[in-house]
Amino acid sequence: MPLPSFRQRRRIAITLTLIALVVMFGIVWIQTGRLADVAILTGGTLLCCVLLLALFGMRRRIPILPLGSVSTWTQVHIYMGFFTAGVYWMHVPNLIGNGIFECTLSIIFLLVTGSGFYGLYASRTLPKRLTAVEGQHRFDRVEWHRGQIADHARKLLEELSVHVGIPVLGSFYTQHLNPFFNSRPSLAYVLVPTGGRRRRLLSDLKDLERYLESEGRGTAGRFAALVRRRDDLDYQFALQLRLRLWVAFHSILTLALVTGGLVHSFLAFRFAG
Amino acid sequence: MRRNELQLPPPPKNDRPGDRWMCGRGSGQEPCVRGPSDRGVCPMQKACRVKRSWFGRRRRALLIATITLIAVLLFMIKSRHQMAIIKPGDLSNPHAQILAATLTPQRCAACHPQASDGNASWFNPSISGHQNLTQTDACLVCHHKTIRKTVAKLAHNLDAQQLARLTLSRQRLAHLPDQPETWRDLLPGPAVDMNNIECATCHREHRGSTADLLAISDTQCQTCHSDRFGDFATSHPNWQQWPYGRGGEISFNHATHANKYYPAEIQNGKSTPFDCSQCHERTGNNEISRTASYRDACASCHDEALRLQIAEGLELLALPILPSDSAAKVQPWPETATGFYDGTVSPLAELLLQADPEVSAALQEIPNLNFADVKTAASASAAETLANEYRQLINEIANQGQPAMIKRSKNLGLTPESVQQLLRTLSPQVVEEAQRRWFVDPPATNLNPSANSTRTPDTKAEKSKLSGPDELLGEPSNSNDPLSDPNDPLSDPNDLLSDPNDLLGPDPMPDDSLLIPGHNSDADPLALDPLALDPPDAEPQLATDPLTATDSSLTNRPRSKPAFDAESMLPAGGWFRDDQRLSIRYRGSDHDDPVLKAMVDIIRQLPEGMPTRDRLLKNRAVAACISCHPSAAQAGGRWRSQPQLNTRQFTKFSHASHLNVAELSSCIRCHQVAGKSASTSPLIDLAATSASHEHIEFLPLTREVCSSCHRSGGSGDNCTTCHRYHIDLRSPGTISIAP
Repeated sequence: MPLPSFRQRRRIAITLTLIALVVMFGIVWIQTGRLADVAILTGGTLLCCVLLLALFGMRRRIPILPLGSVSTWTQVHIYMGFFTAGVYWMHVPNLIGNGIFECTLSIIFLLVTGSGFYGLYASRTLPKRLTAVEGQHRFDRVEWHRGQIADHARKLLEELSVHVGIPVLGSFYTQHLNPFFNSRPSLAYVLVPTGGRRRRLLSDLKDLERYLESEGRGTAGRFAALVRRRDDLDYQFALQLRLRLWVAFHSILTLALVTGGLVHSFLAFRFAG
Repeated sequence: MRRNELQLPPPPKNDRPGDRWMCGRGSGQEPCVRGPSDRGVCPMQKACRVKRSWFGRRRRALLIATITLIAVLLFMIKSRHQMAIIKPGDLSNPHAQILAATLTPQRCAACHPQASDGNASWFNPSISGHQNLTQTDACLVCHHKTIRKTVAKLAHNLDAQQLARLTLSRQRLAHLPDQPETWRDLLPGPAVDMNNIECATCHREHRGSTADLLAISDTQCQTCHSDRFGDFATSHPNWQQWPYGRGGEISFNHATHANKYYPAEIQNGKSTPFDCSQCHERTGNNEISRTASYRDACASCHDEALRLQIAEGLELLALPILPSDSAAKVQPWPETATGFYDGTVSPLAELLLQADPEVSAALQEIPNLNFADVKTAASASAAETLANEYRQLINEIANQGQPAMIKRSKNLGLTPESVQQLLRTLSPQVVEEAQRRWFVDPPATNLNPSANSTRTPDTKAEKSKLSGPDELLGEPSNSNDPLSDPNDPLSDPNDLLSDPNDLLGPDPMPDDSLLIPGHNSDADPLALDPLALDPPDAEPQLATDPLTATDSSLTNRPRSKPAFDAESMLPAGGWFRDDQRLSIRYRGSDHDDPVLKAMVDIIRQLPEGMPTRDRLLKNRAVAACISCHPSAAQAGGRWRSQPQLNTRQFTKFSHASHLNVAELSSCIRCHQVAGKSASTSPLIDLAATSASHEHIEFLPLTREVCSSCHRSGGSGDNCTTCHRYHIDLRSPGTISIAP
């Protein structure tokens, strides 16, 4: 029997999640009407969900054991995250708890949830953007590649010492290309990588052609190639950095959330009365 | 230039996944083969500046985060602001002073017993000293005055029996046609034990200073109820009798007064309007008073009739009439109480006589407690026993006073205070005089204490007379009398009163014919019996000075003096001696007569069904009281109507807020007295639902009257708008639960 398509699986998963939320809401409503301690119910559910969600991080680091594929775990993680957000709203209708500790815990949860939703979006969009750019560069080696491009650009300039393109290209290199090749991308670019600086540099190089002879134009062309290469590298760096920062942010806050949640559960049981 | 024409060397392969460090040599330098160690040390001779990989940087961030977390947790545990940090929110305004003020040193521990323990007890609760102390106990430390500890955890603060009766009552009403089953009835029952409900079940704190501690949803209210419904306007059960039938202490029929008596009362050519505000006035806090005073509301019409009714008063005791042979056995017995068997044992006398078991048995022998029905030898013997006891009782009262009666009543379980109230105005001297007149010295016999008498004196007066001649009466002084003084002008027979030369001048009427016809003015005027004014054919013996009479025998001499007219002589009421009936009686005076009130209070203490109690209730004066104050004679009853405000009943209502609405300022908007055709109007018959079997003279107050405003989006239709949870059946005005 063929596996259902991704869309079909997504519809099924969303439906099951919604049903689970409705059932949970109904149980909470009934229990509230029965004068039961609903906070224990929703809080306990919330804690279990958070722990299960946190287990995903562990699963990624334990590839040996036959615990199911990471993609399956990812799907479970995503839909459980939706369910957990709904249970959180039942537990804390105001979204932010009162009191210093619980307010902090609420904010952490919301940040984790928010980053989770962002991660869902980012994991669906950023890889496409990454693969749209030619080349695959490991994040840790981006610095090395930058150095390579900068060295290559310097060598190109040195090869221009015998014709009239030197003052033109040399001046342009000194003013624009050298800073571009020898420095890291700006924070603005890392946050919102655009093609603006790339287009500007290429446009400027194009404008220089009227002043260059054929060899100079060739060099300018190679400079343009290096600019494009460097821009692609920076683009990939920005997107990879975004993904990595998101994972670090999400996982560190999850640690704080799990710790805070356990402490909160302990306090709640202790002072429940 | 195309991209693929630009050839750049590949990066070195001296790093592995999971490495925390990377080689720091740049692209222009020769890379090392193995890369830095796990500790970040470059193996080359000319060591490079190793760099952290992304994995290494993430591990470091994780480590910093973990250390920060631990530091924060330690701060939370050790800080003196621990409670402020872990406090899950501000307390509501009524409780905020617990944490903010300095009055309560325990702070969190005021409500959370665990908070007073050290941190070690967090992990080992057994070392805490509060194992059996719950949060509810902490609540009751302050709230015990409004909610009793014994019932605090019970649903509605009622015990199981009371709740069961309520449930039965509601279940019966639930099956009425206007109470169909809804989906709400299918919901599961409460998640709490109705005999062990904690305060925190409904009252949740730490929700901010403006949170409403009393907030509770209708669903939560009804979860324990067998009959549930939706919103007020459309599905609340129609109440059967509320607000009527709540045990009003004053019996007043609005219908007859409004439709019959007031219209019949013509003033200035117009019938008197039946104005609600005449009796139900607005109080200072804009509420409506439940009743007005008797003077203001009732006296104008009922005072005269009431006076007539209560004038009948009470009879403490009355000597029975015995035949001569029986009378001879119970000597001394008044001659005037001799004849055919007659008389009844008054209820009060019965109460006092019951103290002695032998007398109590004798009472049982008297048929209907009516001496006229004595026909058998046993009853005759019992009558003689009772006669003796009557005399003994009179003697006790005369000699010992009120304590004698209080002592006898104690055996009945009556409180001394109530008996004291009854007897407060009964002077023992009245009884003493009765004894003297009936038993010792009847008016027709010689009352000279110095005469030979075979009887031993019974009364103090008798004994005092034996001590010597009466100085005031001018009798010859006794030489043995230490008080006698021959020089005492009062002992001079030629006293001032007979001296024609006294300051007052000669007696213009020496004969004093106005006083005593034929009287010798030289004799002692005080020696005369004023009763000698009687017709001469009545008692010739009375013409002589009774104090000097020598005949001390109690011979049969018919009474001739007129009966004491209590109506003219005791208009203000009081105890008196009726020589005609040989009884001690009380005449009532006015509304709120204290003795009659005390009598009813005593009746209330007697067990239901006791024959004496029933007889007392039939007394005309008592019945006059009970007719308007029916609950005064019942257990737990009161004389005055208790205000319904500030009572802890199931239903609460305030006129004040409603009277602010112009359309509701008229009483008849909600309270409509039944019309003249009361028999056909849909009055509420409480006979089936109320123990008091009180007939309600108002048209039913329907739900629609209230739901015109109290609906969703209107004036509030939550359960708690009109209903309380914490009930106290002991509060005044609270109705008893119908069986």
